[in-house]
Amino acid sequence: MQVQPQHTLHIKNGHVIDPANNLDGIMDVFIENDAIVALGESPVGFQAECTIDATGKTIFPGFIDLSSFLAEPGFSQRGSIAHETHAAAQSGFTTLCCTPNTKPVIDSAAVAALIQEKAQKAGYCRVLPLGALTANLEGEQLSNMSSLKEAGCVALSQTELPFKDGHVIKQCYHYAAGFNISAWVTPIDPALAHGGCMHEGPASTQMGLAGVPVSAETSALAQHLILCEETGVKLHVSRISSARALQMILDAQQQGLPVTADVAIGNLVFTDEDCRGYNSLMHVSPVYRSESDRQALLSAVNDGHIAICSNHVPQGHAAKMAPFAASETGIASLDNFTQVLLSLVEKGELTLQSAVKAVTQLPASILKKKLGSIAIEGKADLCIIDLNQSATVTVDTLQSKGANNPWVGQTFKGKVTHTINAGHIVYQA
Amino acid sequence: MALPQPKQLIEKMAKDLASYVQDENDIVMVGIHTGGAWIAKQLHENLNIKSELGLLDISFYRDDFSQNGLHPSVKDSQLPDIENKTIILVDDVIMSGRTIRAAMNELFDYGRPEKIILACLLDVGHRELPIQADVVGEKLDCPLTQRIKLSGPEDLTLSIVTLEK
Amino acid sequence: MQAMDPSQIQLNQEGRLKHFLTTEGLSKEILTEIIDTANSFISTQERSVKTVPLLRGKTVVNLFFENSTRTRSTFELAAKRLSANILNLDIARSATSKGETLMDTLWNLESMYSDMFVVRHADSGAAHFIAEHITPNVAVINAGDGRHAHPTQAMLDMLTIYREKGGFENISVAIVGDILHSRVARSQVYALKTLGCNDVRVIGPNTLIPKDNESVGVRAFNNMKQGLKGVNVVIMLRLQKERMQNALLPSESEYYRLYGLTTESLAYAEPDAIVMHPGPINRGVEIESAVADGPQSVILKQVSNGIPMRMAVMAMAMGGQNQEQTLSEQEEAK
Repeated sequence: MQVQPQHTLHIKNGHVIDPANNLDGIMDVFIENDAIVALGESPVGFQAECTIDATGKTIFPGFIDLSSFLAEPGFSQRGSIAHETHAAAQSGFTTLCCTPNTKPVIDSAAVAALIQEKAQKAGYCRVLPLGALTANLEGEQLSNMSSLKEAGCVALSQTELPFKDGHVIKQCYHYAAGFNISAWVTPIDPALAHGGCMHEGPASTQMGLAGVPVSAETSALAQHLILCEETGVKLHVSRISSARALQMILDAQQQGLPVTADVAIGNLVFTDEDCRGYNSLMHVSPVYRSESDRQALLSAVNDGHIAICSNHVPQGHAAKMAPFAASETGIASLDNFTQVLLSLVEKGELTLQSAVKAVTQLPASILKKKLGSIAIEGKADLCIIDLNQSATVTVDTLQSKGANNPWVGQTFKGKVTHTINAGHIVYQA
Repeated sequence: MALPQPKQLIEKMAKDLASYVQDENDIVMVGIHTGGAWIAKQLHENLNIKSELGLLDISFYRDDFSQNGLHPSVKDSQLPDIENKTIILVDDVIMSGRTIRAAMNELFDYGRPEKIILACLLDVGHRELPIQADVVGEKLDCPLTQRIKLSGPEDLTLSIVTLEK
Repeated sequence: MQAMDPSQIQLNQEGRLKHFLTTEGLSKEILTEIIDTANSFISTQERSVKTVPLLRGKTVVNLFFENSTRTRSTFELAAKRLSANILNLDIARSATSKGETLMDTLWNLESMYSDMFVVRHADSGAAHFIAEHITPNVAVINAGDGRHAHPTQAMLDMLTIYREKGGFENISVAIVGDILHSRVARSQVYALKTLGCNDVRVIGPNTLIPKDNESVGVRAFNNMKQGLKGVNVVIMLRLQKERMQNALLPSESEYYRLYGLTTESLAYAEPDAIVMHPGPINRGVEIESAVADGPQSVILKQVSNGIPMRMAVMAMAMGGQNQEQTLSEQEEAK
């Protein structure tokens, strides 16, 4: 007796684009349970429980976000797993890596498990936790790396928080390498950063704000790259901000070092000039740098070298209602991520292929997961986008709890109409 | 309406003021910027007044600050000592009387004059305050929609300006 | 939430000043008007009744989040001489130290129906933040925000230069000292350039000069002798002792030797050069007593120009707010 699938889905007549498998054409997609069973031709005996007419729309692999702060546990005023993953689904994300800087920090199996449970319960987006690389993220002691990996942490991260010294970094990498655990860092030398709140340049000088020089990023990065070479750890540089750092990473990759990198969507859109007027929504970490840095990062995406993450950091209303340096950092970018990404394509700053690759194929390879592609027997993670539909961002359209979305009031072309996660429709416009 | 020549009016005013100047010893002439100052300069010379000519800018004493803010071109006020002196206050056109009220308020913040005599080139009526000039060049009937302007500092001439709606 | 450029937020729809936050972005006309108005107030300060009735009935609140007896009392006197009621809020000792945010402090103050805030705060952009979030028709005067601006000090310095030198086009001005951390220097540079000075220099060690000085149109010198050559106005900045602790300077004595304004180093400048200092002066640290008290020093004139200058900007800003209110009432009535 043939086992009946619990759930079937037929997506008709959509234009499928998948850089990983070189798909670019109109074809039907057939889904059974959580997998894609056919592309193009209907499998024999397929009974669609549910059909989506994707005529005129484009189908992409579900997007993968390499860095989002979900604010739970511990920061309920700023966000929650349910709200933030809902925002992610609204942008077509099917997988999301949450940063460990929650309260308590993700440095125990219990917290890692809790987060995955809550995400599953909310049902919007698959959450792969990033565990803490050091105990309590304090940068001094090793965390329980092996148990964190077993509890589902896909990698271990120190975010942009400092390490006590080079010795601790080396020990972390050495230990992690032994368990084939990937280490993620956002390199910044706190002494060189010297309390800076924006890029050190003409804008910061004129505004009288302390700046973070590029050297704060590159000198720290140099140390991490050297220790990566020495220990052999798989290093992922999360959220780079400067052209110089980018070049160092590309050179390291050329030399065969196991290093990868991503850039935050904000750094592809904004520069230090956007801080003028003391707009606290531009107070972010890592900082937005100069136009030439932004151009270099865009080129790197177009060349397929780096992935793009959301760097979603929701904040409550009061957090941004203060003079620039006194305000909290971060923007809530999940709700409009895809619209903003597509606007870069619209402006000709990114090609559609490279933009999609940067949020599907590349993150999947960094995570070493079979995700981010459309293939038979592959996971049915998809997003359907109407590239021509315009939408204006208003407060009502936001799912995230964060009050720090910098795009409110703007109109974008390109709207996610459906997000399908493991075969289930988790978001429908 | 035919406008008179300021030169002739100033001559007439000088004649009328001569009697005031003769009787008093401690005379100080004060011209209100800008038009009054131009006229005062000529009168001061004409009447051979020994004391230094005083110039008054009333921008800080106007009563329309709440509505219109501070006047853009504030000039310097320079006054000699006016304590117990007889002031001949000179302005070009007296209309509502508010400028003179402001000028008097300001003068009293400089000191206490013995007496103030007001001399105006033109009196165009439409008083809003009970203030009258002692010496007037000429009385004219000017509709509310128009203003009479004095241009200078050399070749003083009068012209009519119609107010914009 | 696109924040408005601080220089634009200062003007009402008629282009008149309604807040005074920074000298940056203000036109030559407005800066000249400020100087002329302040000049007129000088004569009112020389007579026995020093007040004028302009701000009668208005309430001015001194909001000083950073301690400063001198600047605060100058603003207090200026407000009183404009016939305003003045309230001094010593915020450093009150609620904010208990953790109340700036926003909450503002909302509490709004219920007191003030007409003007004079603000000094340690955060760059604080005065701008307040002007953006305060109820309409309240004027904000920046008495110094972080490292960003100290526009009233800069303008009283411009007034002093104007009275001593007659203009800005044919003079060479050098600012000596800790430019990097100086809000006064930034405001002075913008004012000087707008008013037509083509030769503005900064003199100091590399660690005290911002990297991007050319982006604001000034030439940097590490050497007093070269930097002061041909200079007609020397502005000395105060050196704070903390700079020695933060690996910015080796010692006071080395600084004084290289950048102190002494009779000898003053001689590198033009013989008719004037010596200025925003105060308070550190005798023997950045300036020699003989120079501070000497014939070329106009430091005391700067101090006396402080009140008329503050009266001028307060009167202009209050006037601009009044005008804006009248215009919007007229619009509504239509």
